[in-house]
Amino acid sequence: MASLDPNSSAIARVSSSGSAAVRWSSTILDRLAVIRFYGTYKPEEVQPLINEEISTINLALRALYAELNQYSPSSRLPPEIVSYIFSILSEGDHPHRVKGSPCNGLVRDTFGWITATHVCRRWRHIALETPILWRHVRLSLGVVWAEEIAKRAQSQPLHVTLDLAGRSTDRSIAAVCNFMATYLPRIQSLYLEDSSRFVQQVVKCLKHPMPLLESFEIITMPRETGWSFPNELFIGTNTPRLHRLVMAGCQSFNLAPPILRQLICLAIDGELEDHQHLRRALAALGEMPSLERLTMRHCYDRDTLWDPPTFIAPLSPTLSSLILSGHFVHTMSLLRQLRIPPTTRLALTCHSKGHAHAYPALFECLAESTYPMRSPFSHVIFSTQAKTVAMDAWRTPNRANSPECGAQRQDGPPPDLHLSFTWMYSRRGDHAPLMKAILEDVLSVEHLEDLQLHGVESSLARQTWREHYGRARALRSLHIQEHNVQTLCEALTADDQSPVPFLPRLAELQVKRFQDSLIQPLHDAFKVRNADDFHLQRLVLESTSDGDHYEKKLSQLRAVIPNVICFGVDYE
Amino acid sequence: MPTIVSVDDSTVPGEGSSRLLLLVSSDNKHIVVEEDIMSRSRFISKQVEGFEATSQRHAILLPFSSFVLNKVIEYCSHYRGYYLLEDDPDAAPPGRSPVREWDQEFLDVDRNMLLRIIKAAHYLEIKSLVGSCARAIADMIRGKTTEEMREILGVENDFTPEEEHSPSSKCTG
Repeated sequence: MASLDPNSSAIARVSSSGSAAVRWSSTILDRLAVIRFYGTYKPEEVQPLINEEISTINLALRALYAELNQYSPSSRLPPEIVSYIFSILSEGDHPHRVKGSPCNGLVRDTFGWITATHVCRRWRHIALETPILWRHVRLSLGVVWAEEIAKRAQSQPLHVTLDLAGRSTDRSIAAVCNFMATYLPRIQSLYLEDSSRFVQQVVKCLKHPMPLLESFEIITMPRETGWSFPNELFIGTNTPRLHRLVMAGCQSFNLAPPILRQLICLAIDGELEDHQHLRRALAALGEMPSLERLTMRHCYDRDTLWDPPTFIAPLSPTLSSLILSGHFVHTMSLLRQLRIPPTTRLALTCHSKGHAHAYPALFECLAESTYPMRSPFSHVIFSTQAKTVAMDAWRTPNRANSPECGAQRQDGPPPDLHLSFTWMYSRRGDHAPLMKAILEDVLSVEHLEDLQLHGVESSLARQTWREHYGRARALRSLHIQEHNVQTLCEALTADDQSPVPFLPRLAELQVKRFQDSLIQPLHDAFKVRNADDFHLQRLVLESTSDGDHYEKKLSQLRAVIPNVICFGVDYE
Repeated sequence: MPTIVSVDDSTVPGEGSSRLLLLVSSDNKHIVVEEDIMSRSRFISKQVEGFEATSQRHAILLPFSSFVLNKVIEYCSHYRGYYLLEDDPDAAPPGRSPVREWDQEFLDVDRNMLLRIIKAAHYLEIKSLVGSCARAIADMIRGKTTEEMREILGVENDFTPEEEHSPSSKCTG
């Protein structure tokens, strides 16, 4: 009975023409005979002929492989699914800025997904035909490639990053400016990081309408030479959709009112030129009715310790997050000059430069401020090198406007705070009692969701951690350094398999200063636990060497925790 | 377009609130399933709407095996009555989200089966299952070299030597 399979007759025809080995060997022998006939006495003529034959055979081979791929289930996936896989892979890439090693770290992190497009011709073709995959343009790859990527994105809005980390030249910046001039109308987000001289050159190109621009980050590195934000930038309706602005290293604050009114997120990092600019910035904060997130880091002149408040700037009731960072005196000054809405989550990052009274003073200031301590106080980050710090600093009673709040604060943080805590530890031993007390307090907060332990002395942290981690049931994000990993692993692999309270809710674990030696303990710790016991969604490993160094070693870890991200960071 | 054949009402006793559907796989297996379970599939929903317009009920022929179809039905049964954002045609696409815990276990199958499930889910227009499968595939190849990816996916290198060494013909330099 004849087969109804339409392919069967074709297959039969191929099969009937003899075995592949016989046919190909006879063909090769025929070709060799021809070559030998023409090139018997002249090797220089024979070699190109043989090379040509090899090239032709290679082409034939690839054609056969392409044919073979058509029968592979992976190759037959619908194009939209393949491009969806690419987009998932590109989401997982970690666009971290890696100082000093843009080629090894940053490029790999941002375009790691492209490796998947090199699997076969069909996958590559699908990637090239999916514009949405090519929206991220990194000018550090070179302007030629940036142009190519922008073309592949077709009409998609672009996210442009220029992070040459001081490797720019006048020539390269001229090319960047040309690129900018061409693509300004399509740029949706723009990240500029370079020396102030080159950044200023690029900024000069931006005085034209950017109708799609939503986010603009401008960072000058190094910051020893400040510069002024050009007044004429963002005038009128050049950037009608801009709502996120990050300025680092810019000495002036001269934003036009229309821009102020549309900003939702503002970050000012680095000293403003003088207090006049700072006051102007503070006054401008009152002109931002839509502001939701505000960050002010080290905005004060570092040589001036005290700036008595001259007025109070009311912040928008829409403000949900406020981060103040700098010397504690400056932070206190800012606290006094800002009227913070009670619903704002406040984060303070302070350093005290040897001032023993820093903690009590800061808490006194908070107590005196209009900001109620029962607010969703986000986190307090202390960095201290003080020789002695009063033990009761952390436990200073709150004398805020609500008496019962003060009562809540008597024995440490109020129990209903959504608190995260970063602890920068000095290596001086005399801090240990205070640090231990603080860590105990923090771990006892029932709703502690985010804990970052950086620089904590190993033995102290291990002891306190072991004794108290059982209380932190709500922990969702944990950032630790390499020496705390061992303690965590010990808890996870304990013989009694006792439950680690926060494990079911822990979604992200980040390890700083990651080393080879931690791969095995982490693997063993999570493998020994039942998969239902933990729901870790992300393990982020920051290593001192390039992330590539670890890539091959991480496969065993990925077998236990699917989403492992590793990248190199220059801690200097 | 799917092939639709008329079926005897006795084969599909779907009446009233607990209506049943007859699904026929490519290996000619007849699988009866509650319509409610398969409502997650946009494709099936559209077919059912068609039935209501013509007041005739049909078996729905599907181009994949009963083994794959049963896996899809298992998925739909598990999430019966659940709201999944990905399957809401009116909702904005969910951004980055991890594979659900149950899905991870459900999709712990060999490569070929995973690829068959994603194709079936795509055909049936079950976005949540397509998403979970795509994430599972992405997790399989994430961080691997091109050669390792080819091995995992069962694909041969079909680039010509010139294409392989020419930056302009590939996606990056």
